[in-house]
Amino acid sequence: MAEYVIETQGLTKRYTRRNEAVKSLDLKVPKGSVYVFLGRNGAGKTTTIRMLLGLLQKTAGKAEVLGLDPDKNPVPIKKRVGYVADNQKMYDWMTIQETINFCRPFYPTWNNSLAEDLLKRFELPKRAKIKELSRGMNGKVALLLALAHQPELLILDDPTSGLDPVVRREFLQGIIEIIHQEAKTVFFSTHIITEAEQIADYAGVLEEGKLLLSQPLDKLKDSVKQIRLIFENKVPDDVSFPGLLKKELIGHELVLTVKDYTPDALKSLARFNPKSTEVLDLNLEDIFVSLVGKEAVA
Amino acid sequence: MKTLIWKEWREQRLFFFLAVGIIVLSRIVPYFLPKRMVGYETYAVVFGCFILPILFSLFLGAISFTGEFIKNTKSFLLSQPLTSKRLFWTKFFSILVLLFVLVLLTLFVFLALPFKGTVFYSRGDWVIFLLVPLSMVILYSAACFSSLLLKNSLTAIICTPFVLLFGILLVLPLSVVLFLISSSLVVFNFFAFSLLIATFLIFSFLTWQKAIVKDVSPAKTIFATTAVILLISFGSHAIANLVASQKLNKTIQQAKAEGIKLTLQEIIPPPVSDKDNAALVYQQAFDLIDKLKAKYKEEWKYMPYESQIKTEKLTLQQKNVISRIMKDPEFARFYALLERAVNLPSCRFNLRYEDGPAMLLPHLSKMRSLARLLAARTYILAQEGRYKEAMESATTGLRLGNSLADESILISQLVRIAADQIAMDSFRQLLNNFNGAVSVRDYRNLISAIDRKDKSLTTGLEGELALGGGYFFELGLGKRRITARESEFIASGGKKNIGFPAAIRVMSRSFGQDNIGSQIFWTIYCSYLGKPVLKEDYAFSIQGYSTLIRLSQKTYFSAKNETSEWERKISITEKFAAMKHIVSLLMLPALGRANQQQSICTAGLESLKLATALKIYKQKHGNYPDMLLSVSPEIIPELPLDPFTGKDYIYRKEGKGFILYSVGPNERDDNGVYDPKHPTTYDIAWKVLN
Repeated sequence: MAEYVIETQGLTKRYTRRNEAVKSLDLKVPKGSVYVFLGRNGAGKTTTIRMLLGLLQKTAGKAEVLGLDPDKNPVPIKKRVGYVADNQKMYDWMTIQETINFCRPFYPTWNNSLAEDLLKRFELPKRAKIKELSRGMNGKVALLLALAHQPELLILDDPTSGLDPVVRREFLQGIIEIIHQEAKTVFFSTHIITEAEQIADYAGVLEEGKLLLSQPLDKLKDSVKQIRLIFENKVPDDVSFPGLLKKELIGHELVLTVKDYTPDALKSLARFNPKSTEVLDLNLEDIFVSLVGKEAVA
Repeated sequence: MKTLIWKEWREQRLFFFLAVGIIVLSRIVPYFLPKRMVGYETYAVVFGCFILPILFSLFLGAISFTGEFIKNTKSFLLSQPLTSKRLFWTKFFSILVLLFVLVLLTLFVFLALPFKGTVFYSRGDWVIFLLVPLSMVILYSAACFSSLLLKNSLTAIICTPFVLLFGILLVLPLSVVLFLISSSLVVFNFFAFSLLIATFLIFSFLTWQKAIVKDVSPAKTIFATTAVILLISFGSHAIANLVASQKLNKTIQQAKAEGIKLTLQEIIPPPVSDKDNAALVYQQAFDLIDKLKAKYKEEWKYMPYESQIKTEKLTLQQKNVISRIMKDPEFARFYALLERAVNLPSCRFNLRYEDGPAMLLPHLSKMRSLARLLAARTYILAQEGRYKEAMESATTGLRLGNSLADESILISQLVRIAADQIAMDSFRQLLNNFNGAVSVRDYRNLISAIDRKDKSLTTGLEGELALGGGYFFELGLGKRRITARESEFIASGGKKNIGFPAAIRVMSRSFGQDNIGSQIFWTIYCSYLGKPVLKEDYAFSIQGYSTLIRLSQKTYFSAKNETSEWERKISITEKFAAMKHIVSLLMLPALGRANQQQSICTAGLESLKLATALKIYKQKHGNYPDMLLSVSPEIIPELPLDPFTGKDYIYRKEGKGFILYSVGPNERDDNGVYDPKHPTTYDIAWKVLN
């Protein structure tokens, strides 16, 4: 399991009989990767992350983080993982320095100079109280706390939610810098796809607690394509394609979104006599919408 | 850890300083109040030093954990690499330490300034300084549980009393067991409070682990824990009840083996035929006396019947009035009836033993009055120089008490003793005035009357055990239903019967409490909770009575050490030990002196017998012997011994007469001084001048 820092098998969380937040999740996050964990609000991303950190008890399945079971060893995992929770609230009466002082003794690997460095880089005023900080600054403090103990794995649970685009960009920039410098594994959950695309090399898509796919981003982009068929007359009803995700009809135009695309498979469409056939590349957002969406996300 | 404690301190310090400020003010302000407002000092101090700290602990318990949910910092705290256990305990104990500092400060402030008004606590009330902190911890832990469960401070504060009640109900059976095994009130309080604290701590911790740390419903865990605690609590109570039952059964068996009567059925004397029943004759005498009373309306006031009049203190004219009434043929008939009654073998007044302590005993005051009337008759006859008749009258008086001897009721036996004392006082006058008018046969009659006297209190004590002890325990343990007469007795207290089991009303009343709260408590206590305690108490009671009954069969002297030991055992001065045997100790200590009363009577009777024997000796030999030993075996087969010393009665010739006495319960030779008003103070003496 050493090649994966996170590995789950059939990981399930059931709150009530009818409310199954995570359904038999098989997740593998390779070491050194930047894994973006995509999903709409309420898809089960936070529940999964909380189970991975031992903050929530799993109902069934297996999970290992850095080779450890989160239910049995939550403390060693938390020591080795940097975690920024979704909309993380710290003690607002503390100053940034007090917050750092509060967290420091919990981590034997805490690096003071790194913390100082991050303070400067993020332009955080030490004496400012948490309650006086903007949401962006607040997020930066959380990131600082997650990074200063030099974790092997960084788990970020929708860290940019609620931030305005400028702050979001600034925050992401911070993450990108760290990733490049430290070569860490990052597990990054978000529902804002554009930002994920900038930094991720792996992607997993979660919908209603199920993992729809989990692939390297390049491979994902290669395999999910849009095929645009234009017909002279009526569009035939029985057009199909292996791995068809979505079918849209716009006048004489039929747009197919497919996964596991191969050029050879295109030949099968010839029998419907389209006037023209065009294969289009998709960005991550298009792929995501094709996979989960009826309507646009975020 | 340090950093966590620091965080808690920083979060609560404002509240802490505020609390300290209020407490200090509540103590200082009354100190500077003008004199006329000194009365408010107590209220302010009690509020500031006792009520406020308790309220603070409730408040701190309710906010300490919920603060993390309300400000949404829970995730941040839990995401730190610390075990949830450490987080919980650090949080819990940090605030607990804060509370203790608050208690110490309160105590310091409380004691630092002298009280201007009345000091409302005494040295014995130091337990309050233990109870207040313990109550604070209980309330704090209950509030913690409540807040963790409800995740809201305000609802937690509102619901804490219910949570508290829930906890108390859970551990109540177990606390009864702790009550039984505790050696003192402090130990019991400590046990009981710790038990409650531990219960809330377990619930708080499990709720924290489930609802907060793992974010799952704590319902199953709470139900399971409740079930386990219930099992332990009720299980240990059941075991204690079983052990108490076995102990009680063993005690009952032992008492039965010793021949001690325990139930009402056992003490009821067997019925007798009407012709042998003196009670029927007494009834005729009572009716006759009522007629005489009606006949001599005005003059009757000098008769010592149902009054405390002393015949010897009446004027000559008044004595003449009595004498005239006594010469009435109806009175002669009355006396004849008495003579007949005292010679009948049995006496059964119509007593309803099944009514228990509510049993009516109207005959006792009448019997006592008869004794007084006979003493008055003896006195008048002696005054008139009719010594032979006086002697017969006094002997009849002495036999009167025998009619009560079969009644297994302690008060009947005490009336018997009183009647004997009244009769003996008649002889005290007579012995000096016979002047040969009384024959040896009359003296012999007196001796045989004394020989037939009951000289122990066994019957009365057995009745007291069955009627008093057994009765209450049978009611308490639900083995007996209350009778209509008892209900009447209970209702006579002036309060309306509100429908609770009447037995409980008897219990409540016997404990001096008759309000609804105490009745509810005693209902639960007697029907389930207190059963092991009641059984333990009943066993203690049986042992106490059994010892006393055994001692009543011995002489005062031979039972002296055992009596002291028994008195030491039942005169438990420590409040807590008394609480365990509350029913026993309501009854037993009052009986401590009963055997002594009997011994005083016995000493009086036996020394009277000896004095009578000495009179016979003089009639035979012309003078009194030099030594008491001379009357035995010539006149009486053996010499009785002084019950207070186990030695011979003290006898010496004085002038033409003699003095004969028992040293009495003070066991000291007071040279034959006798004080009829205080028979226990000096000697029990017979002084005969000729």
